[in-house]
Amino acid sequence: MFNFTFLNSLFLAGIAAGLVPIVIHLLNRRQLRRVEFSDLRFLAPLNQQRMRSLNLRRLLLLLLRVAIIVFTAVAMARPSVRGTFSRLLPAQARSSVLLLVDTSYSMRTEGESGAAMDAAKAAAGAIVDALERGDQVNIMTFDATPHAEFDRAVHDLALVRERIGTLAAGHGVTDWAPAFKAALASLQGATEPNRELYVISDFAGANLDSVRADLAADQKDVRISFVPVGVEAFVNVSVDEVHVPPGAVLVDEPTHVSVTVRNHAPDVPADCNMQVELAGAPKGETSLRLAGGATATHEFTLVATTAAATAGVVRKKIDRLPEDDVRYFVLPVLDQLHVLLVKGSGDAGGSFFLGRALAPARAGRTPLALTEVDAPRLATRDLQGIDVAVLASDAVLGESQAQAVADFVHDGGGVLMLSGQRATAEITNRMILGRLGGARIRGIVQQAQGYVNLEELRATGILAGFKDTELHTLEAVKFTRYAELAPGAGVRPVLRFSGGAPAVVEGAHGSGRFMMFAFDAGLEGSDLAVSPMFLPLLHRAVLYLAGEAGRQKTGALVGERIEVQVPVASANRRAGLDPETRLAQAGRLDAPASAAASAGDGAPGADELRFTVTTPSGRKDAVPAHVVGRMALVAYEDTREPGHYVFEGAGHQAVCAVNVNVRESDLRRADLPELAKHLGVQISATIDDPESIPHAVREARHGKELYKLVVALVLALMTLELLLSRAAGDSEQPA
Amino acid sequence: MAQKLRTMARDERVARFLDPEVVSRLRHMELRARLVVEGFLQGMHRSPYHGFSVEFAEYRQYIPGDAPRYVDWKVYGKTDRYYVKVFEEETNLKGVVLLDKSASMGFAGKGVTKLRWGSMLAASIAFLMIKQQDAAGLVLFDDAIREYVPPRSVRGQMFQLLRTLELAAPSERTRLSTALHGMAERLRRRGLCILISDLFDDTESVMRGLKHFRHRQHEVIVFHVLDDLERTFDYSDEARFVDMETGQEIRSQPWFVKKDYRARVDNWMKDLARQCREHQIDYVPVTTSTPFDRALLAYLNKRSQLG
Repeated sequence: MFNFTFLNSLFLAGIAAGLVPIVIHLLNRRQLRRVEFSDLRFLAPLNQQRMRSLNLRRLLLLLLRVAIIVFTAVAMARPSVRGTFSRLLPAQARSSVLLLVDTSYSMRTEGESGAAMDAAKAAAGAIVDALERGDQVNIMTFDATPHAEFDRAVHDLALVRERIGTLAAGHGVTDWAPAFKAALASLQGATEPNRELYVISDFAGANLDSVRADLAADQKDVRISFVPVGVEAFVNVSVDEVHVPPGAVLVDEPTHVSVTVRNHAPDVPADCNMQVELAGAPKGETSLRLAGGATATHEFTLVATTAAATAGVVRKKIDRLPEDDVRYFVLPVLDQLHVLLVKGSGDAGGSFFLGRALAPARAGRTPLALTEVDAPRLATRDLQGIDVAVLASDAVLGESQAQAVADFVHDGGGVLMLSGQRATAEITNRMILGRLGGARIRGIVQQAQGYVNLEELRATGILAGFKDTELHTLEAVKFTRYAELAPGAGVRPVLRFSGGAPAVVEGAHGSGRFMMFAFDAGLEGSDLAVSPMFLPLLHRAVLYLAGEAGRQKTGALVGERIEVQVPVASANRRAGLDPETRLAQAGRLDAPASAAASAGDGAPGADELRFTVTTPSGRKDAVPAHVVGRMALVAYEDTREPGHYVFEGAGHQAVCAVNVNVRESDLRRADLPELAKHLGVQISATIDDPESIPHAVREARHGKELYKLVVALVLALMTLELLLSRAAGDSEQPA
Repeated sequence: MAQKLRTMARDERVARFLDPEVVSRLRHMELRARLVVEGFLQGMHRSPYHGFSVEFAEYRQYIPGDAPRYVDWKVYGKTDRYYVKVFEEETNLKGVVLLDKSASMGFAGKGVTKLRWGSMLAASIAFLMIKQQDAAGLVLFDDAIREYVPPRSVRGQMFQLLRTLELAAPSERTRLSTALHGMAERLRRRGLCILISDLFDDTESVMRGLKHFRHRQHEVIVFHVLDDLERTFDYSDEARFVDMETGQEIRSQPWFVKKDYRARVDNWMKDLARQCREHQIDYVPVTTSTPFDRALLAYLNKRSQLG
């Protein structure tokens, strides 16, 4: 098979000169002399017969002349041909070669004869061996982002071989479009006329739906060859996800962590033995049988004994791709939650039941430290040291009290509001919801007959970990009076009544979060207070709203930016900063941490707000922090390794888990023509057999220049044209 | 007479058709009818009527009413019967020149148009006839008879003919047969009909028209006038050829078709010659590149030799 390229494609513009004979022909046609002749009776029949053959001859001449010009332009454009038969041809062009090597984690797959990365390096070496003196080479590795090994292509093939030997697979996933774009852009700057791109990859995990690029314009005359490498097929089972319930986890309180595993072999069943560790100690193990292509979820019940962000790991038995056999997670464990209950004037709002539920009598240790205060007496100092404030439905706050609550949320606190009292609805709208924004109470619905229930309850969100029987019990609660909530921007319904009205909504304000129940804890509006699910629901809501450690994202994928919030507020609170000062600090997200910290008397110094990040491999990096209210925001971007990243500073510690993207765990090779189609590029060759790489590369990359042949063709055409025009002359055309 | 005509020829208007030199060359020539013609005057041509002239023809029995002076008394004395002498009458020639003035006659290759060449030939023939005391007439036609000057031998006839020729200009399409049939019907007395034309019409129709003249006992001479280019198609460049009569247009490369063209024209002329020969019609092919006087003299010489 032949594939043509042109080394001086600029000269192809000369093909347009092929129009010249046609134009001349047409002009001659138009400029024919008009001759009056006495009678055409003898000419007409003759003309019909003879002119047909003459016109054919002239057309042939015209075509020959056009062909001569076109082929001359083609010869000047230095055509080169590649392919099986190109060896028969003399001469060849020099090449600029780019080796685009996949270093995603799927290239770590181990086989009988080594890892896929080893095969890739061998293939790259074989390609380099097939190159010749004068060719220039560069190497570009890629997973999510491309990286060129040399600033510019080099002619030193020994140096290239040496660099190939140092290549190693990373932990990212392939992102084809940016890699191709960078590779093609790199080749556009190459100096040699023959440009070749060899893509060496296992082509695993290429989710074609996510690949969308139109690189045809960038490809130009670059010849692209796919070199698939890999190991023999095996059954790969990956740990896809570890789900930790939202919110904080309390010391000694059981929490339910669900682990999802997937068998990527579509037809072969697989066994999966896995265990979970917390703070380095094994906490449980299980064994699952997975059908071909199936996923399975197992729930571990963990009890943390230390109040800290606790690193956890789920491991399964290592297979040939170890990267996806481990999944890291973090449990934000708190020792005790400080809860403030703001009560109403009477018992209509269920303050009694709220107090009893939030202060469970438990032997030994009390996970919730409850403080109660009547609404008229609420002061700013009451909110200091509090993690979550609970407002009874009949609690009526004044302007300054409401502002203090709003500031409390803005600074990272959590507020749970109950509603359902007609008398306080309007005040709640104006005082609290107006300040927090996003939601409003439209009115109070009183069911004269019948009732509504919570419906479509699932064990997710604040109900995560609830068993089906518990959910059924919660669904059985009857509500005869409830607030009609209108969630606005940034507020989302969490639970709904039958009929669709929101029953629980949540939203964010500043660094904190608020939640509103459309019902209260009184017995007049519902029988919730006497339901066995009242206490679990209330505790779960409080835990969910509790503290910053419970709300922040503690998981990320390799390559993603990590942002953690570390509490420095205790120092602020000790310093007695007023809410206005903290609010001002919160509004300066971009302000340097040192400046923000030095704004208050006794605040941590600038050196104290520089955090140290310890990567999974033990490397330590210093990063600055930004203070927002009582929180320090720390960001870290160099997340190339999976594992736990530990942030330390300001006397606190935060942990974040980084995991691989399991998209790469599906080791089935992508459909290469489809991949090329999605990328908008043309594949010139696919070199499947590793043994034949040198041969195939030589066959494929050798560009045999054809200009001599084309020149010969032009000469032949000119001779033919001469003969044909002479033959036309023999028909008595005058000189 | 000849002197007078030579004087006439010096007239500028006449000189267009009768060059003095040509007149001088023709002064010794005569156009004799080969066949018997009918005339009113005595002349150099044989008449079909037997009169009382010098040429004895035969004896016949006297019929009451015959003039007694023609009784041959010697025969009466020998046979005792009345016989009268019958003589052959010699009469003058009544000739008509039919000149085609169709559009195709306006074609001129490198020299004069065929019409002008034909006009000069017609004038010369008329001059020749009038010079020998014959009556000469002229018909100009295209697809119908456009001008008709009846044959006369009076002194002013030559001027009349020349004036008519002067007005002749190429006009419409040719329809030879119509014009020939029309003229054949008009000319009742036997005479000489001289057709000057390129004969670009249906050959069969043309021959039917000429045969009509022959049927009326006229002697017919056809001067087939063509331009050299019409015979050779000797053009050098590719061109768009436009039919002067029909307006039809053809793009052609002459060098590519001329060989076949010549063959076709030759065949056509041979066919015309053969058919004319079969019907005792003089077919004289001429080209405008040949001086008309030379062509005419050549023809007259040849005719006189054939008797």
